[in-house]
Amino acid sequence: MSDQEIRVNFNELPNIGVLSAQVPDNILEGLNAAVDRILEEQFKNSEPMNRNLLGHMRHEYKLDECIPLLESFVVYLATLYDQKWNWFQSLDENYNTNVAKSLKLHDLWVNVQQKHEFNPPHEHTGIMSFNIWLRIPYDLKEEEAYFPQTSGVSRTSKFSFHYANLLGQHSNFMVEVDKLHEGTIVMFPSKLNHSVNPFYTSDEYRISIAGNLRIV
Amino acid sequence: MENKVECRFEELPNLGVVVAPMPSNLLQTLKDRIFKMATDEFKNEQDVRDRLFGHVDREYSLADLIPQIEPFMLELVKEYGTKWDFPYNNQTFKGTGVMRLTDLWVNFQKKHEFNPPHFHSGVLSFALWITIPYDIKEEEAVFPTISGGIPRTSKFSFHYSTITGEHWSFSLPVDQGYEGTLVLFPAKLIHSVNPFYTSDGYRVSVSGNLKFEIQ
Repeated sequence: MSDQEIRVNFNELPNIGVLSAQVPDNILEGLNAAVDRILEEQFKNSEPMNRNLLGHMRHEYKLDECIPLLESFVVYLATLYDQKWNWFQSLDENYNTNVAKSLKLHDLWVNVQQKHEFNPPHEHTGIMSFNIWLRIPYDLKEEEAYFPQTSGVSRTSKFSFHYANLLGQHSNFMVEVDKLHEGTIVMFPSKLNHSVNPFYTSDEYRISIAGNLRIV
Repeated sequence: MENKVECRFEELPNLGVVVAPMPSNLLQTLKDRIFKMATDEFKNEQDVRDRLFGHVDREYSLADLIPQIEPFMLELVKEYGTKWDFPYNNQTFKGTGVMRLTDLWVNFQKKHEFNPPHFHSGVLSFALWITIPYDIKEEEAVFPTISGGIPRTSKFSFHYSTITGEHWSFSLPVDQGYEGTLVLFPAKLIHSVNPFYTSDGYRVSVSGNLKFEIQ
């Protein structure tokens, strides 16, 4: 029974996933400008979003003024998502509409996360949601060294997706968010559970932009 | 119309968790051991962090107390089995298996530390709260404007699938009223512990796993 006699196929059973991409520079510039203004004003003129969110953070604010800047980009990403996983078709009958042609960016907000704050496992409203990392203030290696004895991989500061595998068991996929993630977006089905763990090694803000695409 | 509608609400079968007080003599045995551990500044204790997911600086074995704690835990396992017919008849191995308490440890959780969603080895597991250093109302006031109105700071949460496959959470609002109380749950049931913010004291809990010893 040598290696050459055995022919095997490993078949991954179909499932949907998450999409990640680089955000175009002009959009990043607009988002950064909006965030800079919020920070310069020390949050005084911004509309809090906390009551609509599960984040255990002091500073979360609406970014409605950036919706026109971002909408066509995120709707385009949603169409790419659908091309890859053909997922919207399965939703069409639920909503009696063409989901792919009906998506609009409905909610947009900024999360200004401080040291020790967290976002417990939660889901969003809408069909597709996304997260854009704008500023990551820590070094991931320093974060991972904060609890060095933990079994397996340290989870401080990480963004995690929680989902059921093909056996129905709850599984976890971590996005190891570090400075290289600045300017990147991850798009996922709104009902995909996810969470953000606290970070410990910086007193600066970790800033991300989040939004939901809904059928309009 | 209200009086004409007759309906019945059927909850589809599922497992659950058992909440019970720890007998006072066993609780005292654990407290004495844990108190001595702390007063001896944790010297000569077996560090078990490399076997656990907790992002917690102090977690130590209590294996020496297994013979004393095990009989009560096995009684609770019987109660669990009577209620939910779990663990199911041993379908994963041939022969007979005897349930044993195989792992027992103590967690000293400090302010800002946490335990991410995880599960345990074994068939059934438990968490027993020994000391809760904060007031839950003060904890809930740290982030007062959460969606849904119920902050999750400091809470112990179970994460599970509903009958439609959605992920839900069920949080225990662990406060000082939980001291001396334990929760027994299937070892594979995902759970997590959120950070607390309003005390510099240790939140002390004891955990354990029950496994089949195949004979």
